[in-house]
Parts: sequence; structure tokens; C-alpha cells
Amino acid sequence: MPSRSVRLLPIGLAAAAALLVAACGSSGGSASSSAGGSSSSSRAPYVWGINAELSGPVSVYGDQIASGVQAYVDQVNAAGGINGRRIQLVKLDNAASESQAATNETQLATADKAIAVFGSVLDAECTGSAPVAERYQVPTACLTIGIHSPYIYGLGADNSGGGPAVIAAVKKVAGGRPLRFALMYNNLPADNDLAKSVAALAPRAGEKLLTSQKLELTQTDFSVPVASVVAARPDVVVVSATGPAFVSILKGLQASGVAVPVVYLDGVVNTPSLVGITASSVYPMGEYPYVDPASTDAHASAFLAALRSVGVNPTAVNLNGTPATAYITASAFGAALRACGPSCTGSGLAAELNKTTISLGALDPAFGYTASNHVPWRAWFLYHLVHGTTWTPVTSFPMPG
Amino acid sequence: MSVAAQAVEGSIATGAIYSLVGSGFALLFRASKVLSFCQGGFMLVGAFVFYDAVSAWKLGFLAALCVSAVILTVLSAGTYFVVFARVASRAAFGTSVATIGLAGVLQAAVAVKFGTSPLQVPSVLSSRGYHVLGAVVPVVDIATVATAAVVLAVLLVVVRLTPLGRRMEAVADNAGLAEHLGLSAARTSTLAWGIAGATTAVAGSVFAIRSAVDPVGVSNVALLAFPAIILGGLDSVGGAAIGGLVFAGVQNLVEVALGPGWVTIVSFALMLALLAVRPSGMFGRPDVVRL
Repeated sequence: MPSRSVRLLPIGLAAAAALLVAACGSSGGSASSSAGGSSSSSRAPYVWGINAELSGPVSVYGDQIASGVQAYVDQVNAAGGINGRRIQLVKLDNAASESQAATNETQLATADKAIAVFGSVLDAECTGSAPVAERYQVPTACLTIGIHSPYIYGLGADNSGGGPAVIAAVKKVAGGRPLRFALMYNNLPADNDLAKSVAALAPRAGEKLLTSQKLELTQTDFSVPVASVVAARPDVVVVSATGPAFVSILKGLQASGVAVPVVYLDGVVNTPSLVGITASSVYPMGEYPYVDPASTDAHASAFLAALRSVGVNPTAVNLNGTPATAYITASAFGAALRACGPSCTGSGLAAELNKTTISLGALDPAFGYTASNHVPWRAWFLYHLVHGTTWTPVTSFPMPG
Repeated sequence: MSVAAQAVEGSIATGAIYSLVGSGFALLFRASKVLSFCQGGFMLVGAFVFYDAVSAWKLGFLAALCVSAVILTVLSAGTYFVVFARVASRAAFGTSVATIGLAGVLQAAVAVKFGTSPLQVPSVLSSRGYHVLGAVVPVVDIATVATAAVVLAVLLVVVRLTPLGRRMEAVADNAGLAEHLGLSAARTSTLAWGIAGATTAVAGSVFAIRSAVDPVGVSNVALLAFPAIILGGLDSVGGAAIGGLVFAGVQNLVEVALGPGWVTIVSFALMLALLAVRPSGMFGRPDVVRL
């Protein structure tokens, strides 16, 4: 009769072998994750992730990011993919929660082996994702950035560097003469930087900033800031605010009989709120061009077709702003991925992104990142809005530096 | 144009909207002891119905307002009758919690039908304003305040002078006893929910025409209406109206004196302070427990 130890020997050997196999597998998996999720098979699809606010109060922007990126991915896959590999898009909802954003980022980087992530609308969620993006070396594009990180890239407008453009726009809409203007801006980090910059630049440009009115995102009554602006009697009013806030402010100025030019810094991204405005004094701006749904430009047409393929019937209201910036950003990531090669990793993609500049014609003539600047926009575009629907290009101002 | 005078004007117009939202809360609490967290959801639906009535059906301001109020009356009363009527008289707390879920359902339904982008209501009122005592009073604000005044006057008459108002009070005080005396608690509460639905529709419509049909903005108004109701008294329709005006005045006073960054802090601190000193609000009736 065999002894107990002899009978247990095969079981022990099997267990040791299983542990060895598991250890080897896990070792390979973590190496893959830490490298930003490169895939071992050259034919396997690249994985991109969406980590956005797909539910909650800002879900409109999260959904737009998802549809813009999806439009690009479908377009690329229909053309055979990049470097012979298709792109698989994994979408996760961070529900406007910082901790959920970090959890999603971890899942995308480790379990799904994503090499790029697009998402967070709010800077809080982006800040939550940033340490994970750095740890697993996954380039992550956010609509608003609240933290500097080598793996966080801009997907949306950043007003903090808009001071020179504001000064130039004020001069342009007033016909080049020296003038006095008022500024109304959101109490957000980027807009606070903008206000400081405008206040510093105005005297040097021969302009006088009469009043700066700070606006809260939760504010619903704008009587006080509007009255302060009206009392200052400016020649031009510059506004950086949400669409509904801008509409309320414009109504207040109209009721007060103020008919001076109103420059709306966030005009392009808030196109839906501008539909139906009858005032002829509105000058919307944006860090990317307004896209006309009837545009015949090749890049714009490709974008419109891509949107249709994901079930979006493109109109001026639903294609301008975040859907367009998400598509443009995904295009830049795609160009960097192409340059990075078939076995691209997250860190390799980041290295390529830092030297990638693309030109998408009417969508955006120049868009690109550098190692020291992850804000991709290269110019501000100024328009004159006529009857709430006709956008007449006025001029564009290059970004400093 | 005086900043102080304009602050007063803005306080009255914004206060009128808070009052409309608050009176709906107060009416439901008075009739069923339910603190409804879905009033913001109904307000949003009302705003979108108003938008559709103006932009798609080409109705004028008053006609669109009436359409929105009628549809929301039916929707709110129907929701109560179908979802809450069986449990509301016995479990006001449970019903209050359930209204949070209903708010989510309403917001999701609106997002499916209309999307989540803010929408600009086509102009159905003049954009001009009148100079009154140093302030500019826009036509839209005149319409907002006048509408709120009419709705609140009708509500006060219903609550204080009609048999329905007395039935609401009886049901809220003791639903079981009211049933024994032949009153239908479910029917009375259904009517209260219908009326509250109409007030939120009006609130949503006038908010939309002052600003935009904006889900985030409506949520903010519904949230900021809470301190106004606490200020006025949870079960007092008249108190909610006055609380709305006072609260909006405090907001603008703080904005002028300290800056907009202090408005939310001071507003909610005021609510907490009042709760500590007078839990039933300025015009609410304190609960008396007889031993």
C-alpha cells in the first residue's frame, strides 16, 4: 500500500507546474500592461478606450466624445485599419466620478490592454485618471485638463492661452481703433488665467479693460454682472461662459439697449445655444473652425460621412464642438499610431504624439502636440454670426509660441 | 442704470421662478407629507414641452404655457396614480425616496426624446426692456413675474379657500382618519400632484424663455429652490413664495457685496442656520406631539 506522501506527490507536482505556468503567464501579462498594453499578436486589433461621463449632468459632452472617436475608428476600420490592424473601441462610463474614472482607466490599461484612452469631460475625472495613465503609460486625451502629466493630452478648448487672441479680436471687431471693453468669464482655472492675461495685455495694446465680471457655473441670474457691464459703457463685451449663460447675458444686454459687438470666446463649442439668436452683434470664437454641414472640403466631408456611419445626422448643432474635436484628436492619435508601427505600445504612441502635427483642411488646418505642450490648437478663429445660423469667417489669430 | 436697482429687479424675476418651484414642493408636502425630489425632473419636461410647443407647433407664449401646464398636470397626476398611490398614504418617507428614482427616469426620458444639449427657445416675447427706478426691466421678466403671481394667487385660493384645500390638509394630517371620514386620500393626493405638475411646467417654461432649455440650469434651479422652501416653510405655499423672493434677494446681495463665489456658501449656510433656529421655516407650522 503506497504511503500517504507518495500518493500526494503527483498532486504536488501538478500544483507546482500549474503555479509555474500561472507565474509565467502573469509575468508576461504585467509586462504587457506596464508597456501600455501592446498586443503580442500582430494581427490582433489595437484597443482604444473611452473613459467618459456617459451618464450624469455632463453626459452630453461624454456622448459627443464617444461618437466623435467612434466615427474615426469606424472610418479607419472600413479602410483596413492602421498598420494592418483594426482598432477595437472599449467604452466605459465614469459617471462623473473621479474614483470611477481611475477604476476605468485601470481596467482599460490592464484588462483591455488599451494603448490610448479618450474621455474625461471634467478636469476632476481627468486628474483621477492621470496617475493611472502615467503608471501604465497610456496616452489619455481629456476635454479639460486640470493637471500636467506626460500622458495627458488636450482634446478640448483651453482658454488659458487666449489672452492675445481676445485683445486682437476686440481690436478687430471695433475696426482697429483704440477702445474700452468689458470681460465676463467663468470662475474656472483656465478662465481665471485668461482674465489675468487679458488684464496684463490690454494696456500694452492701447485698450482699456473697464470691468471683469466673474461668473459661477451654477449661476442662473446674471442681472448683477450684466448691470455692472452696462454701467461701465464698454465699446466691446467679451464673454467666456456656457451657452445658456451667454444667451441670458445677451438678452440682458439687449434689454438694456447695449448694441456693441459681443465676442463669445466659447462660441464654436456652444453652437447649439447660438441657433435662433437674432442679434447681429455676436462674434463667436473658437480654437478650431466652425464646420458647415454643407462644406465640400474633403476632410469635412469625410468627417460628416463618418458621423453618419455612427447614426448621427450631422447638423450645425450636433457636429460642431466636441464631436469635431474628438474626431480631430482621434485622427492625430491615428497618425501617431501609424508612425509608431504595428507593435506600438502606449509609451511609443506618446513619443510619436509629441512630434505629430496633422492638417485636416476645413476641420482644422493645424493640430498637433509637442513634448512640452499638450494643448494641440494652433490658432483662434473669429466669426460673425448672422441670424443665428450664418457663420461668416472674419479672421484667425495664431497662438503665441 | 444702477447695479443695485438691477440686482433688485433680477432678484424679483429669479425669486418668482424659485417661488413657483417651491410652491409645488410645498403643495405636495402639505397634501401628502411627501418631499418630492422629482420636481426638477417635471420642470425639465415642462421646459421641453414648452420648447416643442413654440418651435414645432408655432404657438405663442401663453398658448405654449397652457399646453405645457396641461400636459404636465396629466403626467404628474398620472405618475402618482400609477406609481405611488397605493403606498403614499402609508409611507411618505418611502415615497420621498422613490421620487429620486423618478427624477432619474424623467431626465433619461427627456434625454432620449430631446437630447441633452441646451436649446434656445425661439423668441416669442419682445427683447426690449423698460427703465424703471434705475433698473432695466426686460419684457421676459415682466412675463415671468406676472405668470408666477397669477399661478401663486390661484394656488393660495385653492389651498386656503376651497374644499380641496381642506381635504389636502386633512389627508396630510392623518390619512387613515381622513379615509374613515369618507375622504379619498389617493384622489386628493392625485389632484395635488396634478396641480404641482402644472406649477413646475410653468416654472420650467419661464426659466427656458429667460435663459435656455438647459438640463443643467434646471437642475441648479431645482437645487437652489430647496433653501427657499426651508426658508419659507415646507408646508406653506405662501411661505414658499416669500422664501423664493427672499432667497433670490440674499443671493444677489451676496453677489454684489462679496462676489459670486460666495453665493452658494452663504445661501446654504443661511438654510442650515434657519433649520437650527426654526426647523419649520418662517411660515411653516411646527409639528406638535401630544403625550
